[in-house]
Amino acid sequence: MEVFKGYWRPLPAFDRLVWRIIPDPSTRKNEFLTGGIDVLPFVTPEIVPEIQTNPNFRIETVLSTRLMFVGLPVDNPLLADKRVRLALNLAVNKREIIEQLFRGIGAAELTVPLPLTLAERNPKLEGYPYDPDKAQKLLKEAGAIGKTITLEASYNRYTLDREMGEALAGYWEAVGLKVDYKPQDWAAYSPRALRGSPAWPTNPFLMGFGDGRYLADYMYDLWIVKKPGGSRGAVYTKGPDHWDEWVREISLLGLQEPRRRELLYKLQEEILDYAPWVLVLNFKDIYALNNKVDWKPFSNERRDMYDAKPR
Amino acid sequence: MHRFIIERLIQSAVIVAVVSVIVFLFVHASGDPAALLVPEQATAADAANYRKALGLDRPIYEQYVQFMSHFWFSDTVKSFRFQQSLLPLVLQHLKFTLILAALTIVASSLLAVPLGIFSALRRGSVMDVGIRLVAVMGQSMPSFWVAMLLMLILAMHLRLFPVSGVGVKNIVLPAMTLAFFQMAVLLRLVRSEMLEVMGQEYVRTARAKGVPEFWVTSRHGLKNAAIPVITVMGLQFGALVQGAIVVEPIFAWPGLGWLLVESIAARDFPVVVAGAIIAAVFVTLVNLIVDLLYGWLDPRIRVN
Repeated sequence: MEVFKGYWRPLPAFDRLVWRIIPDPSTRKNEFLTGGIDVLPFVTPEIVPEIQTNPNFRIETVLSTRLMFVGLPVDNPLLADKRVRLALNLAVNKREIIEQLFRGIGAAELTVPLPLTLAERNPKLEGYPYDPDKAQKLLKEAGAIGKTITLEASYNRYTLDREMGEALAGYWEAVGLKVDYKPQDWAAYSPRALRGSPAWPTNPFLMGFGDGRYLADYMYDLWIVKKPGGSRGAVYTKGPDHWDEWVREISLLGLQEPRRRELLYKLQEEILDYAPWVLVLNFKDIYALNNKVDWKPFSNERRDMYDAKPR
Repeated sequence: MHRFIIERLIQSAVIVAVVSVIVFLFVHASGDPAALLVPEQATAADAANYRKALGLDRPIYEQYVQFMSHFWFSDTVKSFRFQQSLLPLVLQHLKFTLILAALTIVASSLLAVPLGIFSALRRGSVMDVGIRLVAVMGQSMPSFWVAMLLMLILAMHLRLFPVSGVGVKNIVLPAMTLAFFQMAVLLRLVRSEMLEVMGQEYVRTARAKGVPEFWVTSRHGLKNAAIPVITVMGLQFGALVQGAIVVEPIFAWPGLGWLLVESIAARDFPVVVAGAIIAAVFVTLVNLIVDLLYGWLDPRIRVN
């Protein structure tokens, strides 16, 4: 891309921007380290130390609008019991996942059922604590100890998605469940999980959600609201009807209207109580940059380079 | 000869047609591309509408006929992802693969032929053992591993070549990766053919006549040993077009292999089928040329 000299705003500092399409992640990293590219998005955590040891490069992280959760279809006989759904949340050590898989820098604990970047998240909510003893107790009360649960996940779609699923399976097994873990190619996984093509999964499924519009009702419109003809809310969540009314009302309210925030805070509280999802983590996007370039990444995954400047 | 060529062309057309049917059926069985191409927030109804727009709701035989009748001569069949006409898209990428394949064959031959001859002439020596060891390594090591190794040493540490991309210097590493295996195959073939030929009576006669060893090896030995070697080179050229599927994405070399890998993952059916058809056409044509070349090189072989 070359700069358009007739642009009405001040011209960008760089005259030319080259987008390199490099399919292999290892090649991308090597290309960056040899100076072939100046900005490398979505760096995986394990290569951060290698980049940081080089004084010519730096790492920038930004809290992303993308989160990871496990959808719990409440029609599944095991998951119909709220105690089981709560137990699945309490069994997960999110801090350990972040420290071990994401080296402490690639993610943050998800404490609300919304991306942490959103101003409309309820600040009073602290999510689910890590409490495997309580998880086990709930499972015993529900008669679920020793039962088998299948966890489906994608691979090569989200950062460390397969490994995240393995960790979740391990935590659930540690509290007394048997877990059959099935990672799948995104091309086969996503049509089923997102659209029920050819059929909606009835097992827990690891999924990501991200949106650059920073609107809380958008996520709930996709995952909570029950719509005719098959929607994720109608198939998986099957929440109370007043949630649908709240989301409809929220979508009609202006962003500054107090009623909007009031409804959103209440909705988040009730969602946490209902536990239709296992809240896992919110990504922190890691970018590697050549010190020749002065640029800050965006939380919504856009690579808008207009403000990039040479250092 | 003309009858042979016509028969082979007809056979090739049948082969390409069979390949197209098989690939078309398998690709359609692999999943729904509309479900992948619509945004994540799209509903099942949106995906269904898009399927209809792509013509995927029609019977499969109708889709196949529509595809084959328009693929060659019109631009109405387009890639789902790129929305570009198929044939130009595929040929644009094939060009890069052909360049890579040609360079690979040249490089592997330039190494394999002298090493194979040397190894044959010094049979049993330490050098012979060493060369054969290199050949075994070349055939044993997976190409993706060779690619990463060459990238690490020559691009990362020694900074002799770029890591990836398109350009004169950029082609060296992918060509070396592919050439390592090709060289191993050719080297062993050259060696075994030379061993067989150099043991023939006419070679002994040439030596007895006082012909210098250089001319015995080159004019009498290599010339006869080269015939199967050249035919294998030609066949390898066709195989390289498929073999580049692993190497091209690693080096971001925008050849047909890269296009096919990306298109398979994205369920871009038209591109996958078109790529497979073009590859099949290419391989069958190369095989035909090799057969003709074989007949031309060896006067004893004539096809009725």
